[in-house]
Amino acid sequence: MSKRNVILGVSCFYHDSAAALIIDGEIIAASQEERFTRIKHDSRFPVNAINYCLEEAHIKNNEITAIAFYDNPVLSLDRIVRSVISGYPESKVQWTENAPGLIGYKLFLDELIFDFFKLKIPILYSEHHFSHAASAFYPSPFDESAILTIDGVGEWSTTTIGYGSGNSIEISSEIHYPHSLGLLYSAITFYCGFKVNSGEYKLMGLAPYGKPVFKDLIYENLISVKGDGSYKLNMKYFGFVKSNSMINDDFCNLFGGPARKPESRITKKEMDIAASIQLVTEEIVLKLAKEAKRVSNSANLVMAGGVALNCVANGKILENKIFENIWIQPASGDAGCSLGAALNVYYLYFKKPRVKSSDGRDMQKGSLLGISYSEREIESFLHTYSIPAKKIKIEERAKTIAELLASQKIIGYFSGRMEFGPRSLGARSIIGDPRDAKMQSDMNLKIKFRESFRPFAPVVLREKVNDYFELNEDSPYMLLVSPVKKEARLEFENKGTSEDLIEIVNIPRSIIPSVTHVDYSARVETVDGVDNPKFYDVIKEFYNITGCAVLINTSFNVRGEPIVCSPKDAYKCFMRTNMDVLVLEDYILYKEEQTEFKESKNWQDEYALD
Amino acid sequence: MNKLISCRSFIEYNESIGHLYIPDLFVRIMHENGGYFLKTNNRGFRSDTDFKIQKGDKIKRVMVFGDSFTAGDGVENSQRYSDLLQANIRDIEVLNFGLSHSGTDQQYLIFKEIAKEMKPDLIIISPLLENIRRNMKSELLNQTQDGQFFFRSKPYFEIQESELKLCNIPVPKTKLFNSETIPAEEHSKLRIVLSSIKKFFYKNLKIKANIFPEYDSENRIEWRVMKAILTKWVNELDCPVILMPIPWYLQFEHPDKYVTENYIQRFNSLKFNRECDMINLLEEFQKYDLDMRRSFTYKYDKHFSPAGHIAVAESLIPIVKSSLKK
Repeated sequence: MSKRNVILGVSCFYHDSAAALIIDGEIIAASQEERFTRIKHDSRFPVNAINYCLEEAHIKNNEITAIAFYDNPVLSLDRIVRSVISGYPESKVQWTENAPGLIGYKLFLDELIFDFFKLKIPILYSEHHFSHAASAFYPSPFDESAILTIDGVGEWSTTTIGYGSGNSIEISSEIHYPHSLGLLYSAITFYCGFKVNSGEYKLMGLAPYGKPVFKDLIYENLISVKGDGSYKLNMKYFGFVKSNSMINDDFCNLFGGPARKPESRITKKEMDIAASIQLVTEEIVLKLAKEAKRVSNSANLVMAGGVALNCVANGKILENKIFENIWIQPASGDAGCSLGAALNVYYLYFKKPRVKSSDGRDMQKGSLLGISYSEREIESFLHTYSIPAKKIKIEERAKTIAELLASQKIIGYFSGRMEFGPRSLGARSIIGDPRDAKMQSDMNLKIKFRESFRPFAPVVLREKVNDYFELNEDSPYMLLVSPVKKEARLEFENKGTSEDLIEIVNIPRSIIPSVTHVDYSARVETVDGVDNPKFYDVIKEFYNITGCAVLINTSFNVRGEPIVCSPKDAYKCFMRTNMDVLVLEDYILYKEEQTEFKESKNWQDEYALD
Repeated sequence: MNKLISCRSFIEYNESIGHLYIPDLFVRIMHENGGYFLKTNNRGFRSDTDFKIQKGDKIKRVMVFGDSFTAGDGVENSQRYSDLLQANIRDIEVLNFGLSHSGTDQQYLIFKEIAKEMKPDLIIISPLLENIRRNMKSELLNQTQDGQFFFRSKPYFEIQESELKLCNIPVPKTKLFNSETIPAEEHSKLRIVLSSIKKFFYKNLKIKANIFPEYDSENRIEWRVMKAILTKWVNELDCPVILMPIPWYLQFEHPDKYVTENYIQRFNSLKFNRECDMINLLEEFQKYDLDMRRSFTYKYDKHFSPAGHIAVAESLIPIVKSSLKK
């Protein structure tokens, strides 16, 4: 028997460290470190994620063929050194803050790997945007495709356009640091009082509440964009080259005052700024997509990079019909680079032929690439801690859960392998009935303990998606935003006139108000029953009972907490919040049957706000 | 560093024994050796195969009992001395009932509650010397996968009117979040200071360090409990027995610097109503030079390394062979 080609991909030391493992081109396992350490966006060396990947694959250390690292630390060091020199003396803080991490860890990765895993095998370095590109192209269902990657920065690149065909990838154009659409979005995220590399999603969610009145200001002062989507930032307004701050006084003056303090009231100004940068982003992404189409002449587009998580912009590409098909890597941030790096090594270094599924589906397996817990482990957990639970027969499982949902119960749903990437897709989800208008603010405030304006996503049966949304495509990874169908909408007048977000949120907007944003948009997840059949069955039963083929699906965590990983994490989250029911695989736990839950410390201090 | 031991729990509550491994588990454990796999069988013991009541024709069944040194913390199942015995002696099967973080009391209860019905042809009892302390406790300090300390309850025996009385049954369950209940003395500064003073004296006055004074006298309560458990256990058996006390690593690395006579004297003094061979690992290990003896444990983890398990197996093989012939 020929030796298997086992490649371990690693990304770390910036944010969202992760590991992925592929065997003979097949993705076997992938996970973010934060899920195990319970530290959001944990950037440390992903010991636990690697440990999990090896466990899942039953791979011994000496069976690993190569290790792939997601970026080139020498090029990153080059960027930092040049930035420091160009901005000296103000920029010396950049050196003192960034160099130790880079020189201290990245350049000595082989020693770390030996320390933890006693491995002395080749470490192959993939360039950052090549890793993104590979994570988008190789798992996609396409034989050939245009590739677009956009993020903050990786080595020098911030945006790339490329083309993938068979087992090869070529990058045709790049935009270099400091000009970065991702960093522009992050700068405004910071200005609006949200955390960089974490709060960008909030800014996107806030945008529909505002009007894009700052759009011209942004184009006139912050960024100049050409017809082909290439752009340049006006560095006069940004602090990140010379310091570790995203913005400077000129930026604040441009927007008429200091940045919003985190946790303070969100005003109309922030809503309008969010709407403005969102529109600018969408316009630039559209231009870049058109340019990718022009140079590739492909019917297909694949995307990755942090900006590819901007599902509103992604929806605009789809809506404009620039490409016939779009596939976006669900772990589009740097975590996904662990997978991309491994795939790069497999195809580009080892020159292996492309591995594709025989049924035309993608190779991402529903992104359910993380850890699962056996029935025996769940039983053991419940028994060890005397947790009251009822086992459901498999034939009654979906119906029982659907009935609870139909009676307005909010359910923590823990089933199967954990998701890889930032979205909960039905393995570690909180689910609810979307037909109640108050559900959005209730779930935000009483369960997620987060801002009331944050929208929830719908998960819908694939065959019913077009009944509710202006979408008739697969969207299994919740990365496309689509308008709710006109016939499903309700009249809604208050948009953009009030600063009371709860008041706006609680006004019904459609027959599925809790998952309809104030602009009638929704971040859709379609489920077809192949990758996660148990989840599909629950929605199908809910449809049979209620006539509604949609559920609310939000991540199983509270604000600032990584998505739950283990049964213990799930139980903690369940007991700390106002969820009614917890489903742990085939066990159902009812809140009213649980014993009093006491903790010596305030759990809300456990997680830093994002 | 962000190191957990593993992504999963591998221990569950048991009302008679206190705890057992979760059955049918496959876990990768992070370790200074680069990590290893821990596999449990249908009965919740570390084994690549399920334990069956019926043994095969012409197969002699050997059972081993002990704590983590026998269960194999730090090595894979196939690297343990039990599995090496099976690989090196024809027509035997070795069932390893080792359980990490257990006392001799719990090891005896595993035999009584679970293993006895499987009809052994030979039993090897391997108490780590430190188990003498665990036997006295109703709960032991443990650490969760994510590094949180907590107490796990256990059964224990008391000597009442010359009889062993089993206490703490059913074993109380552990609370889900009880990390704050660690008594202060476990981490007290005084304890650390006293320990440093002791080390200083041992080093500078060139007297042997006595790690386990519990073995000093026949009359110490800790030894009386240990002796009573072992006597009860061996006397209940109807098959040959090998008793293999496992010394602490410092003792077999530097027998000239650490007191060892006390425990050898105690174990040698045991009288059973059946034949029981005793293996003196301390003596066995002196066949090897210091560097080799040092390789029997890891640098930081003082459980047996694969080399340590090989050395134990080599000591055991002739005695197991001869015991099975009896």
